[in-house]
Amino acid sequence: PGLSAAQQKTITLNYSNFFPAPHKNSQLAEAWCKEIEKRTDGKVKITYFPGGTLTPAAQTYENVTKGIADIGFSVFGYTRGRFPMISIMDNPLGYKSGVQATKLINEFYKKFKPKELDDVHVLYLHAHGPGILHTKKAVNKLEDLKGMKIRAQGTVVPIVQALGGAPVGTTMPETYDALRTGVVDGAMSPQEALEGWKWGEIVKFTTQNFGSAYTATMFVVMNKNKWNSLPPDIQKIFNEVSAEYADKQGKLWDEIDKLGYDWSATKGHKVIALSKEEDAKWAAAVKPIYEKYAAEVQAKGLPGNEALKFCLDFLKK
Amino acid sequence: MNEVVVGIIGLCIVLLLFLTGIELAFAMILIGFLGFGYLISFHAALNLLAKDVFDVFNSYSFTVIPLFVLMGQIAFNSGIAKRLFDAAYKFIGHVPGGLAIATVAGATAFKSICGSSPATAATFASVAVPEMDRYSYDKRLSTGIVAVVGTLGVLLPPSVTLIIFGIITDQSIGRLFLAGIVPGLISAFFFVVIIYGWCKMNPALGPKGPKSSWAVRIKSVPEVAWVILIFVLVIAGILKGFFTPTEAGSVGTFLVLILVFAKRDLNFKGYWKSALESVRTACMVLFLIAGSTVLGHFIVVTKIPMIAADWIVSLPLPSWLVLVFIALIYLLGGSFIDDLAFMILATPIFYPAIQKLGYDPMWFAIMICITVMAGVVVPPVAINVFVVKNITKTPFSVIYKGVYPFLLSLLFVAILLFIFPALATWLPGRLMGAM
Amino acid sequence: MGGFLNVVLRLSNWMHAIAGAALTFIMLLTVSDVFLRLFARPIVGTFELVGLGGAVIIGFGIPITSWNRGHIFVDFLVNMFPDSLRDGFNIVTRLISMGLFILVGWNLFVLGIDMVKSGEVSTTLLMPFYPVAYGLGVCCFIQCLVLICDIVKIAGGKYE
Ligand code: NA
Ligand code: NA
Repeated sequence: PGLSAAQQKTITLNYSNFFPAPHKNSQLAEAWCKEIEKRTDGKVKITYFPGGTLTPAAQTYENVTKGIADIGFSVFGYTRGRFPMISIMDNPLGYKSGVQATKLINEFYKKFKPKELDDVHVLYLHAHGPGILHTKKAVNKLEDLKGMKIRAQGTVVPIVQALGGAPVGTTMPETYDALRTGVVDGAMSPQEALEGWKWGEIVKFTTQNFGSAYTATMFVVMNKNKWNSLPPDIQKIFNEVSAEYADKQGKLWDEIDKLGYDWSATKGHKVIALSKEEDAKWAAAVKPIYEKYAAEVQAKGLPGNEALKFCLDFLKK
Repeated sequence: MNEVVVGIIGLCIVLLLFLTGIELAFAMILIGFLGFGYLISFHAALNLLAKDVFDVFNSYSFTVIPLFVLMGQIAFNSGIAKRLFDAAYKFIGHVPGGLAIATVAGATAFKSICGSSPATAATFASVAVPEMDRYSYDKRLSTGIVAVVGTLGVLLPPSVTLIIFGIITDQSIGRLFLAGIVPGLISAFFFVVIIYGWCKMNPALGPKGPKSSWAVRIKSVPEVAWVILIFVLVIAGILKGFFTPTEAGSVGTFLVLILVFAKRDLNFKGYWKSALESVRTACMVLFLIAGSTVLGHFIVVTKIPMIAADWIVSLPLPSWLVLVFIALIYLLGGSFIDDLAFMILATPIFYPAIQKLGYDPMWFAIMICITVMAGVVVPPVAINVFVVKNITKTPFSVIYKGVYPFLLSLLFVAILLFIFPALATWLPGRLMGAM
Repeated sequence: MGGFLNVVLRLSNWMHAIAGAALTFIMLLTVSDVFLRLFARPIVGTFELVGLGGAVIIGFGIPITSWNRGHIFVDFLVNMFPDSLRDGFNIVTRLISMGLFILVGWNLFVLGIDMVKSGEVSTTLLMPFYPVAYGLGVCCFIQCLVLICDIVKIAGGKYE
């Protein structure tokens, strides 16, 4: 009693993102929240928790299914084995841009509707720009990488091995210091990390091995019960805004990659482009990784080979 | 009920529960669980409980705690610690509080191989306190200094706190590392000044011994040369990039173990005793961290940190007072929930305000580090004090009496830094050029 | 009652030994990895195994730490109370703690079941996590036995 109709209907939701508040990815997610609030005329109110303060990155998906957060933004690869189909895209398929990778994952989702995502409502998916090699010593050709210690976790480990490097595991915050002292000679990541994690202060070279570049697929998903409890007109607004933001997010990945290039250039950083033949050599070295992966997915009774072909065809376009 | 009210009631209940004799960690987990359940849902809270406990225990970074504790235990049980302190006594025992001063020097150096503040406290609690007991040092001095000295790690590189701070505020981590060095060394210096002054006033705290001749001193050196060699090897290994500071816990402990086995100072039984003791201490520390993680998730959903930060920043106060309030919030917030988690939560809100007030961002980072340093020894949740109590079986009241004088020195460093910001900004400017 | 106390103590000691072995193991593993890295032959997955070892160290250390009253508590206030009131307080806090550990243990099992269902594995070695979740769950239940022992000791006036 005493509440107006509008107040009674206010739906409040918690949104958890592991990117810290000042990061551009976090700012975009926050803008998504504001846009939803605006277009629903304030009927939806979203409390935004950046920096992994509500749910750590690796827990976000699970915690959305349990309602600890209503909406979550994180990386599929942090919980390996859980998303066999989507993770086909985390392989070194040869990515050229964040826009391309983000378009691919959303098309991929539309086409295959992987069962592994059935326990949430998918708002939108995206994937970062090409994951490539950054080193303290110049790597001009595949042979240069032989025996170099490269920081790697998860899906990047086999890539480093296939390219002849030695994968070393360190935590993300510790990597800066590991690069500084020489515990590792390099790391693989999108260019963005050179500014975001400040590695650009230390590593001096980026090798653009686009033909064997990987990506990390990411999600923005919502608790299924919460989603089902939303009135259809609100659901429509969520879907519209999310579709727009998938595009924005793809572009943002490329934008921050570019900032990463510009910023590292001011630190005296050099970019090494590979010749077509050399790039093809790298691509050939990592090919067995994704073929084996697709076969494993196929063995689980999922259309792994078809999905891989779909991705490779898309990337050739 | 309003979330903020729920949060404040929750924290008050935690404090009340502390007085019932329940384990502090259990009280924090319990109230974190109940509060989160009340605000979000109990179904979600049950899951949170399991996930948080699982994540804290299954963590690579936290394994440095049992490993460095193990190094300390081996050093103690093998008699290495005794010989180190006997040698130190010959050099500096004639100075009031000399062994406490040696402890500060040792821990400052030790910091370059151990990044964890509670692990440093644990190592020195097991190594230094029994030795100072032997020379009739007062427990207030011996336990107080080992609790405080571990905090130096927040300022001296490679500090994880500074790395995270640099990433959140988009600053050069190399510069931040350099910025922390002078204030870190000044803090260590003030610890020494306080020890000396306090022992001058009350000679019974750290009784001075006879002055040894140089012949006696030099004779004590070979006894400890091996330990110093290992120490130098480990530092060199980190600087040369053979291993990370996290790995140094394993490498250093392993080298010490080889040494004591080779010299037959310790047998397997002695090692095993040390390992078992380390397990208990690590379990205690990690339960506290798990407690502050669960409680932290409850506090986050009350939005208290964000609301408090917005409020402070909007107050029409002189800029220095805003800064004092900000420091107090870090002190309080970092007390109940994990320091790093709190920093990630609060810094993005305070940082723009700090820039608007015209303060140097690098300088602000160092100020916050000093606050965090004080936080680990200030009640109600003072993890370093807990570690020292647990290992040395000394009552809280005694340790706190020893901690407070040293807090004065941290306050003094903060004031110095406030008046002379160049203490933080000079070295990076000198070595890395102007921004 | 003494028999029950003995069984729980022996169980706790036995688990304590496993924790000590895990500590030794992660030390040796890290040292080997650092050494082999000199020859560009790192032990892939060290990072994960060490984290996992950490869980064993802490989890299996829970019962003995509690048995020895190794956790931090503040007892100056309850020590000022008359004995019977102090015992009452201690029994209540033991019961509350038991409730808490039953909740944590039970939900660690739920978490383990979820991990089996979702197929989640570690990111590099692709090891399943669920045994760790179950293991920690069991440790929590054994912790409850230790808390029961505490109550037995309080009743017998042998609790400090
Ligand atoms: Na504190
Ligand atoms: Na804390």
